[in-house]
Amino acid sequence: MEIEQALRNYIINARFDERAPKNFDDDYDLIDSGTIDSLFMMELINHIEQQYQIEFGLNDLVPKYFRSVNRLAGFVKTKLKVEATANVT
Amino acid sequence: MKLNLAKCFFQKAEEQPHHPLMLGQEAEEKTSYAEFRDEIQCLAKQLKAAGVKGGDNIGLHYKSGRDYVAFVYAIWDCGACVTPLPFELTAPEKRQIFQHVHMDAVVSSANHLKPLLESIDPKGLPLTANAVFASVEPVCAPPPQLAEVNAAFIRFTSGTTGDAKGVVLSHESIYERIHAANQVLQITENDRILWLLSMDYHFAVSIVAYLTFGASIILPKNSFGITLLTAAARHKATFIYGSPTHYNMMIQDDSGAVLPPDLRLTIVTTTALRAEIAAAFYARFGRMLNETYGIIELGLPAINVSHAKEKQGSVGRVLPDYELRLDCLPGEEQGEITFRSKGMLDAYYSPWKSRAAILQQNGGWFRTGDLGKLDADGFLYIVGRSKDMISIGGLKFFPEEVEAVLENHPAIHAACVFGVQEGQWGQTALAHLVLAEGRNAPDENELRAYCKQSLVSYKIPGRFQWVKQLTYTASGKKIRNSEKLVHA
Repeated sequence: MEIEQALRNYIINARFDERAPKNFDDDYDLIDSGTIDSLFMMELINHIEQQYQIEFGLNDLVPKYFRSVNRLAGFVKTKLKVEATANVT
Repeated sequence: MKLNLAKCFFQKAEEQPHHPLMLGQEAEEKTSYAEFRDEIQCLAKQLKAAGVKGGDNIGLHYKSGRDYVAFVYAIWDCGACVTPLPFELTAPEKRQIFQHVHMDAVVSSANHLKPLLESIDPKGLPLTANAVFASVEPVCAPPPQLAEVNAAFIRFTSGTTGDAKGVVLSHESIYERIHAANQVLQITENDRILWLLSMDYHFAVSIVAYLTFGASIILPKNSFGITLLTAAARHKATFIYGSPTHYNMMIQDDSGAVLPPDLRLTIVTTTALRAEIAAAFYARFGRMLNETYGIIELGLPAINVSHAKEKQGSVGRVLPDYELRLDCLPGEEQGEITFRSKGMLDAYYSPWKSRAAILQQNGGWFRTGDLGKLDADGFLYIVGRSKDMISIGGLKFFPEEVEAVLENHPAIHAACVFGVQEGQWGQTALAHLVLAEGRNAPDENELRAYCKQSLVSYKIPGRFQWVKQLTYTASGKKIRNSEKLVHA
């Protein structure tokens, strides 16, 4: 499953019990809509760290990476690429 | 007449009806004391109409926030007791609470009924646009002694089979502990408190104190550093109550935002504060964090309000209403922290053990299980958390629960889980595993996927290590502190 779809499914299940708002798409604003509140943010980070075996650094806990499913997926892909490069070298 | 904390709040609302109680992220998001009282009384009316009565126990399955507070107070106004059902737990974890704590009904988020459906009547009665009330098919009977307690909260804690499960707190105990804490915190109607923690785990000394003493609560939209700093500045926070993680998030903010000038306390709780976070917070904002020592069974016995800089690393002097005794071995300066105080827990729920019975075990003193030492000025330093509880960003759990899940895996003979001080959440859970005979070791991904079936993500160990054997005490208890970092 592609990363966007997996994250989208996880967020919809965790936050909306499968009943997502009609306009929920990969650019839906997760922060302004309140989808990511204090506690869900922690759950989401734990989930992503476990699922993709990547680690959020302290500088990564900023809104720009959490704004939407697309932004989150972009962050995960970048991290995976960095780790893959590190493993090769 | 029995004390009821909801009535204490109503009295405060009578005294200051127009004073703001709840403050949202935006300046216009405000609810006054009178408005909130009216909301609570309206909810209580609905609950009573649905059959909630004095002595009932109601599970609360709702996300932290203003509505959570309203539901707790409405349930109290009915004379019933609240058992939090932490929202983020998995379905098996929630079922475990129903199996050990008798519940008459639940108030739940309407969108999150699915994990509860096996236990409750699926035909819920709408309470608000987002919440439903549903009766519960009882799975277990309440302990008969519960009727003798004016119970306000039953906080479920999972542990090993045979361990006490559930801390029972009465209205009287909570009332005593908030007054004990306020001798030092000095919360008044002039305070605006930035609230950052889960209400399932933090309510009895904090939220209740704010409502009783007339303060305002600021509820930010999320935990990003910029969000917290903006909310604090917008509402002129005088007080922040958070975990090391939250202060860490503020440190990382690079917008140049500052803390409001009226801020008088930055309370840090839930887990030990690492020195580098304290130092970075001081470097960024020019103020020290106030460390505390809080225990669900006792309240908040120590707060470092007076000497946060000079006594960095200390949780402060013990509050006037608490009496501390360190049980030290001869010749040692550190020992187990024990307390005598007002506001102690009323009982452990299952198996039932009354306060008197708990205290009788140790000559009238409550054993915390934590290790501490005092300096010459009477400041308490926690040098080890021997009770093994793990706290990930303020969400707490016991290792036994995770070990039980791991030990059900056919390839695992024995497991030992403990917290290590690392990562942005303050602690990370580490699992030591002993392989079952004749089995191949599953890899980390398989173990994580397996844990995920039963455990919420923050309880899943961050690291797994295969070891030849675990270490045990002479009495056969697992030794979990082999990698613990002492913070003193």
